[in-house]
Amino acid sequence: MQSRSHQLLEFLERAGPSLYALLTRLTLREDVAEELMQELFIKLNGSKNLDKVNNLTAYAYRAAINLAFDWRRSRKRTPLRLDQVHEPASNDNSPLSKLIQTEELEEILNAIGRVNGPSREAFVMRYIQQQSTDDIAEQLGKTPHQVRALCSRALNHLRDVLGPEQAQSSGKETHNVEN
Amino acid sequence: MSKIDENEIRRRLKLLSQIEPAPEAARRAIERVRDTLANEEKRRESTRMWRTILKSPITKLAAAAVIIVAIGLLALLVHRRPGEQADTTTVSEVTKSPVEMMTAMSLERAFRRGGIEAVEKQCKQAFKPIGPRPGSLSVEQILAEFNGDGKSSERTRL
Repeated sequence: MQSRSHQLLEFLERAGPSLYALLTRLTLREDVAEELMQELFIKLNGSKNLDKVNNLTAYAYRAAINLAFDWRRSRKRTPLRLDQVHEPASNDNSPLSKLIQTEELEEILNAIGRVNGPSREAFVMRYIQQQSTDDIAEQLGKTPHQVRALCSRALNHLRDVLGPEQAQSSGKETHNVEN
Repeated sequence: MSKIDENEIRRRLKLLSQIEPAPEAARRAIERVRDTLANEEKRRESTRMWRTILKSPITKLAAAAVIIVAIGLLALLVHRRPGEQADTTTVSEVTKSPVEMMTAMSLERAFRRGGIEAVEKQCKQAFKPIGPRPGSLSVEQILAEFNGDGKSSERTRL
């Protein structure tokens, strides 16, 4: 038990900032991310099977992703806060722009929350944490090819949920602002 | 729900990946987790200690003995009558000779017990056996009185 606390403290020093960032990205709220971070480490500390875990980092990331999406699922619809997105996506910093942006991010996160377990984890690691497929494969105990397949499946799901209908996809829907 | 194309999905994903929490907030969250882990460790240490006590037969017996002794002492304290201590003192004071009652130690004890009133009371008690003095007393009679000899006191009182 003593060694577990030391192990977790070392892990906290090493992976704490990254885990907190992940939780902030998935919840869009720093206060909630802080609470979930607490919950995550309490769970890790109390877990009976932690000694059997080969890759603590991967295990913690998966647990953090699940905690964040559980929170998203369980929370009631609350008014959006304007001060949550720290990195503005556009040069327009007006409150309305921020609100719209937060709404957009909430929409896509809710859609990701409806993707099934392994695909969701792979997708979050790939597209939100920007990890390489090799790293993800190592963490999930899969091959890079399988990881790409999982990500592709999740992206297809998002396209189905958020994408334009067949009629709209024939050129009528022009939401792309990147290019 | 609005309908968006794949490029828009990717754009939003990129935005999500660019979100960085404030360094201060991250530091605070990590500090809080560190405190929680430390407290959890202390709590576990305490639980572990009790578990060790309850598991070992020797410590179990020792703990039981300590508890029994404590209960016995408590029972003694509870069953002692409130005036018991004072009465005992009075009896011991009464049986003392006037000389013993008038020593500095005895008077100091009386003062601690009941202040100047207790000292006066003790003095009265000390001088009471002596009572009204006859015209003349022999040295033997005086010594007998100071040694607390009741019979001789009775004799000299007259």
